[in-house]
Amino acid sequence: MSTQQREKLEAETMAFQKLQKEYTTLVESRQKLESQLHENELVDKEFKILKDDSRVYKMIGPVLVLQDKTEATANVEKRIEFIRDEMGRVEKRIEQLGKEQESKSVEIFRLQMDMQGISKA
Amino acid sequence: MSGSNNKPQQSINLEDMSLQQLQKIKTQLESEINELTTAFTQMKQAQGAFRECKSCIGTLRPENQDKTVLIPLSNSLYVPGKLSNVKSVVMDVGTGYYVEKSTDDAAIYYDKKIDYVQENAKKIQETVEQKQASYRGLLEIMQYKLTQQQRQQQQQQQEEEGGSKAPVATAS
Repeated sequence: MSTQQREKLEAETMAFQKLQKEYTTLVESRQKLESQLHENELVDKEFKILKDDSRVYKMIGPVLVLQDKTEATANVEKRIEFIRDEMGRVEKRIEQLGKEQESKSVEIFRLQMDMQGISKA
Repeated sequence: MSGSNNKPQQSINLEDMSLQQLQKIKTQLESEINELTTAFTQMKQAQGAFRECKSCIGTLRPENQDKTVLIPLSNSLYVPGKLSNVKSVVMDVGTGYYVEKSTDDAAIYYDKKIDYVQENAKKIQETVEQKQASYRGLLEIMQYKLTQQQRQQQQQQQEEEGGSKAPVATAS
């Protein structure tokens, strides 16, 4: 087993683990985004069936502040759009990471096979 | 033991897997079941909270108008007040927004929420039951393999001990 190969294998394994960590973090944030999206969609639905004279308040700190209904609706809809964009980005990155992980693991496997091949000779 | 406990929806054949792989799947299933059970409990709690809110609205009846109420300023400090508005409530709809609704509309809102949570809780329950069934099947297969393995080891031991006898080809 040449030291060079061993070092390369170690480096690749560490890189792989780093990828895995990033992947897990991304999946977590995607789940969080999903639940935020869901909550905002519920609020949006609620605003839509609200009569126009109903009052909407927003909790800012410990205070309920009166809001304009159209403004609040616009706010929530903007938030929903933002979350959707964010989710799209995260999902693309997740897909990318998945591919990188796969190619890394193939690389690691190849290195291991090489090393075993040399040690057997 | 036949593999009759292999659920048809499983795409992997558990019987073909080694004990180690089965062990991994077992741990995974265990954590999944735990997570789902926690989620289920949370749903039930949320449902309870909504039911509570709904029954609170029930106290806002026209005959209670102008009755004295105690308003909490903190956990142990109250001030007396008067119930001046029994027609509408301000309720939390999520993401920091609160909406004023009539008591009837509010009751409807809570009813919808209770039903929604109920449905989700039911779905979770079904998934949990499915996973538990897979888990039981998995345990059976693991047990079977374990006994098989032990039997093989015993056989090998006996053959090694009875070395003076005519050699029997060991299944490798």
